[in-house]
Amino acid sequence: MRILLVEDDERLATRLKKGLEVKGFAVDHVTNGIKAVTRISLYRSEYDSIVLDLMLPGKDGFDVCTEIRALGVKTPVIILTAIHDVEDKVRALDAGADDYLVKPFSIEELCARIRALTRRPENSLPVVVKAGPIEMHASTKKVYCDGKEIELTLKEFSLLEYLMRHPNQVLNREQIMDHIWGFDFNSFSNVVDVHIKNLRRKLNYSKGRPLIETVWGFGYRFNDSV
Amino acid sequence: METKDNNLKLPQIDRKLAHDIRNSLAVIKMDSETALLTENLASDVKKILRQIGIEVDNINKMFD
Repeated sequence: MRILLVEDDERLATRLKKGLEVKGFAVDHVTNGIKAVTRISLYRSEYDSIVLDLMLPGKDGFDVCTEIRALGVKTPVIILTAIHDVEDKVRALDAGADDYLVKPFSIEELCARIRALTRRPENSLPVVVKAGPIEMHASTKKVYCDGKEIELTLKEFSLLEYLMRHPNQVLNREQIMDHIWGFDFNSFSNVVDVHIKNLRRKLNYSKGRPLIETVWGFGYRFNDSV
Repeated sequence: METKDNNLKLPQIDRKLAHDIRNSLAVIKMDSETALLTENLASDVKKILRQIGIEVDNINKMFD
């Protein structure tokens, strides 16, 4: 799952990014409201959730929220704020935010709220994803192939989840890299190919068409009708 | 007889100050939580890290 973190406090942003990454999210970080609106309007479909600080330089969180909703962006937004104030909460929710968290908060709570928002029907991310012989439980991070549990690392899980949520679509390496590892990752790395190779080995599924197919010159495709 | 009254109320804390203090508290809380994810951490270190989180929450409650 890919998150855009909008936070101007570098100390807090570094920790939040690290904490979310440890929990299996890919995180892109911007430091002000203007950059946030630009990034969201350019890559609106790339993010599963936006974590947005209220007090930002350039353009505050209220304005960012209002502008992206006016642009038609439906990505769930969680507001982070230092102010425990009903008026602020009402204003943020009215501006289009979906949830609200007062600092200091637990990273576990933030992750749970992100998961809860992406489970909402309008965001169409079911907790259990089934495709072909694979069954994936997003909340418990368990994967079964033909009923047998498969042990995956967090990145392998995120990669398989991304492929399964886009069945029969060709996803190129750049798309996969951006979604699973974030924009900051070295795009010349062969990390996608290595993880695909490991996934295939662990899934060890050899009946019919390959589950994860290489589309030469483009990328990879998850076949849900093997 | 001395009675409790509202004269001891602190002046309204400025939004910027609240923002700075709560950001710093959040940094401490995140650090202790992230450190708790480290494997093979000694139990006394875990205890201290959990206590840091609790104290951060206690300080935060004073602002509510």
